[in-house]
Amino acid sequence: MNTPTQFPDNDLERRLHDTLRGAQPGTGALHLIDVRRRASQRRRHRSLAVGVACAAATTVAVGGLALRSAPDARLVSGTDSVGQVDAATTGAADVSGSERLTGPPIAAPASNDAGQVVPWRDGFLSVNDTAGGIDARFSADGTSWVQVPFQRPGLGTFDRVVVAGDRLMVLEVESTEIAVNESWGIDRGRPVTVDAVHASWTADLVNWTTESLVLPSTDSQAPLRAQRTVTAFVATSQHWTVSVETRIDVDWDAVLPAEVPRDRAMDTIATEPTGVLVEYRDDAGTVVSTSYSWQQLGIEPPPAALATPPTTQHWASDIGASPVVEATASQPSIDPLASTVVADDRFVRLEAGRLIASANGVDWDVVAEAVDGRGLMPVPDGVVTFPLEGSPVRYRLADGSATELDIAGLPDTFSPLGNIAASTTVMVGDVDGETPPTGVLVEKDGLRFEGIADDRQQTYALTDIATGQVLVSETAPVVATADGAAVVFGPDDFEHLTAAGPEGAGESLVVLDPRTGEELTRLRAEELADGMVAWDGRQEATLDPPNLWVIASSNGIDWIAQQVDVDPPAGTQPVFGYLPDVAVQSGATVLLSVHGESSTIELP
Amino acid sequence: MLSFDDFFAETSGQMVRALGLALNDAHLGHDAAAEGFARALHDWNRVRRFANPTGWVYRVGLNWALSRRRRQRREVAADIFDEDLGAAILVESEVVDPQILTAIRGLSADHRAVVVGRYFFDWSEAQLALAMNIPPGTVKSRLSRALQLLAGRLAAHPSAHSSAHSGSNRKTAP
Repeated sequence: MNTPTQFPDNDLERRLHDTLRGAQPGTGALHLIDVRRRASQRRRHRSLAVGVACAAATTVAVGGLALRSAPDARLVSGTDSVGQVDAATTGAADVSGSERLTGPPIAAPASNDAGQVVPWRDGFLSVNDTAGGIDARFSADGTSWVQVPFQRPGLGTFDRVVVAGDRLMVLEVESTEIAVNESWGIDRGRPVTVDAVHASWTADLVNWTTESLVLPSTDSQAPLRAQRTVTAFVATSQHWTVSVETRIDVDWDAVLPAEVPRDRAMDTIATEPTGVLVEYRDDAGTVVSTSYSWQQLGIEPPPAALATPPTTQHWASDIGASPVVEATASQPSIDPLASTVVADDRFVRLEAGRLIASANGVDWDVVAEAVDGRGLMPVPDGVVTFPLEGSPVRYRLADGSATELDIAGLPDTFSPLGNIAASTTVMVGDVDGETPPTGVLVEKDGLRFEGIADDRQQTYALTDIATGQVLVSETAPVVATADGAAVVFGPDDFEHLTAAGPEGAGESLVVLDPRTGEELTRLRAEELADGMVAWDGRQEATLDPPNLWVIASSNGIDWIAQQVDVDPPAGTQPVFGYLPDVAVQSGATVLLSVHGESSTIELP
Repeated sequence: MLSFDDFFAETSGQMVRALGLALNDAHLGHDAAAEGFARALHDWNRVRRFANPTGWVYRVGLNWALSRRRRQRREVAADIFDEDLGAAILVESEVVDPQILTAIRGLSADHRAVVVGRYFFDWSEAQLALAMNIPPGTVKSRLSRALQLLAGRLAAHPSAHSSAHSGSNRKTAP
């Protein structure tokens, strides 16, 4: 923004500037969380809208799950950029010769039951925590499933299961309900805070060895409270580590005045330097935004802890008799996508732009500096990071350092959304599609002018509405300026589209008859501006197809990038949003499950 | 590298105010800003490369709000100052001129949009043309026309413009 003193000689302009800059809206501040929620809803809206078209046009059903057909699926074969083919294929699924689990065939696991699927003994193990106990099923191929016995230790609430070499580990937690928080915040429901974790391992799914960790108490005092959650639990063949995040919050229900109706509360409680902003609906259903100062809430001055981002502590131990130790003191939480994974039987984490690795979860070494990456995905001999710009980058870990290698052919704009199963070599992400087109639609004097432009070309047509006859139609390339901007439908771009009018070039567009050169119609700037709005309104429901992809590799060199249609079945709502419920690799097979329907992809 | 969070933190306050002024409706402006930022977030890899991401959010927010208005068939007449809508924007600064604010509210949506872009964001006419994706000639003529209208309205209703209002309709606890 320029300096505010650029209108010294014009009183009207100066008054305009000062007044506009001084005016304050009577609304609350815009909060990032609301924008993220709206963006999420927008993605969902688009996914729903495009699903209908996809079903008829470009999608094929493979084993019940809709995968996009070629050419959307990409097989990418490559070599290491250092010049040699890397054939290392060690990994969690590489346990050939291990005993297969067998039994009478049953249906595939219901992926909507919040179960977990992990690679296990050359196949897949599905573990669902049900009211009747653990429902465990095994499949060698991702298609045929058998029930297997599984008795968990039962020392706490079942949290998650991970693979530790040829053993399996479960994490169970003991937790305390945080009182009265059913209405507030994005974490609706009754949140709990974790007090203790129990890590148990087994080789036969029945007999367990357990190590427990009672977390030290937090020093938060009312009305502040601490909420602790387990954010990561990963294991190598010999060690395991658990990460616990602590966030400090206010017990809003205890401090907000009774006038704020708890049962009609909106999601928003935003903390500001001077107090909090609360949104709720009044008796008439109108959203009311109300501010309370810290003093009014009886919290003065506001606790510094509220301004502190969540922190994470890492704990580690071995699969043996060693006690659990605190591996790192509390430190600011990092993006979960960059949290600890297991690669080459070591723990690896992306922290402050550095790749760090550890054999035991306690002693960490920096193996690569200046790593530009948002997410971390393990491959058999290293990890893959996803830079903000450009293609994913592979780091091969060896001898305490990392060698940076190129991966060719994956979508440049792949943006990781998550490892559905931690430490498996499948990443789900969003890929930027084509730039959404812009357009204009004006109907005037029995004629329809419609134009559409994308990054590459622009096309317009003038049609006689009554007869449907296209009177003029032209296509021209779009030429971007140095800063990437481009003006489309300009008079210089076309032969039969020109500018005219008493107010100067650019004020009006005139469409000429190709045969006679006579004026067919004249579109004023205001009409064109309205026409852009009209076109946008008509197109809004059909823009941007869902563009969710999974990428996977069994060796870090040969990759598959597969587009997945994640629309829910007609008339249903997604249970867990639009990410696949299952995306896990075992050997050369990737098992995907979306909305209860599964499919497999064979890797090269 | 500009992150979305930094971009949002830096510009969201301005954007809510600008769109509230341009749309003559603070609440719609708030929603439009949210929509503009949501679309920017959705497409951030592309938007952050633009010369003026703020301008992109401004234009997208405007288009979204105007489209919604039309769909809801509650277009605010160009030359009618709606007291209820106007009440959504109050002034808190001593430099604010209520007569100017009233005159701005009487402009058409298109004219308000360029006036806000020019005198709130301080964009040049060329920057404004890029931001709003309209030809520079259109920007020039709209600005010129808007200033003519404003000057006319101010001349017809002269008053001291130094008197300031203060206060807010933002509800506060008793």
